[in-house]
Amino acid sequence: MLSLKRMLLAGLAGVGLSVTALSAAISIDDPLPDLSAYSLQGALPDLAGKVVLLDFWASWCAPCKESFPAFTALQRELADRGFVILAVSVDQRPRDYERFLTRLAPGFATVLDAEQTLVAAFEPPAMPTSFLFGRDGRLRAVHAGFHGDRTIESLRAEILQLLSAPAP
Amino acid sequence: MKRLARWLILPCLIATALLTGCQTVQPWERGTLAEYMMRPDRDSLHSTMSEHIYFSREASSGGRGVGGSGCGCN
Repeated sequence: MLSLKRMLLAGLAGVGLSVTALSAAISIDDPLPDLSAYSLQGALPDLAGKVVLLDFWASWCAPCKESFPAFTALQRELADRGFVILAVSVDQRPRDYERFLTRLAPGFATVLDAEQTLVAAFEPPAMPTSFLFGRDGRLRAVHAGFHGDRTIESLRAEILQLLSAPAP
Repeated sequence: MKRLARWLILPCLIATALLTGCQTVQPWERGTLAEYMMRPDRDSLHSTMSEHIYFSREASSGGRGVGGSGCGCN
């Protein structure tokens, strides 16, 4: 009987460890990882000391299409104050990524995560999802999905607050 | 050795049941699912025929917004 109990405990511990190992998403206050360590295609902008919006999108995602003009306007409005948008595509076919960019001509930096290594590290709960980092490189807010003006207004308020913080 | 094997069997069984029981498609992995060819309603003729067969066989008169007796003859 005792050995059965021990076996059950060992089993539960094993399962617990496996489940813990599987959930490794980024959370508030976590630092922005070194993006050059991931197999991203495209030029990475200078992010040091800036407020960064890391947006995960895909060419097959309709709300992503809707978000691009709004993000372009936001980038143009706040670029001079130290705000950078880096949009990471999770498309697995570079052709889809390029076609989407040609059509929408975004006014911010984009890179391709075709191997989906960075997105797997962030584990966004929906497409698109934006991760907002402060000047200190720490995660300050997460926006799952894109809900038009509601998302933009909320983002603008958070970005302005982060921009007013002194550079580290 | 036998004892060790007994200790390992149950954790392996539980882990197998829990970790391979279902597969979650993550939001960023849905590119193939979002393709046009994956849409069940991409062929309007096929959709109409399927609807007809459905409400006829299920005898669900008007079940999908289609009037009829369920005989499949209208």
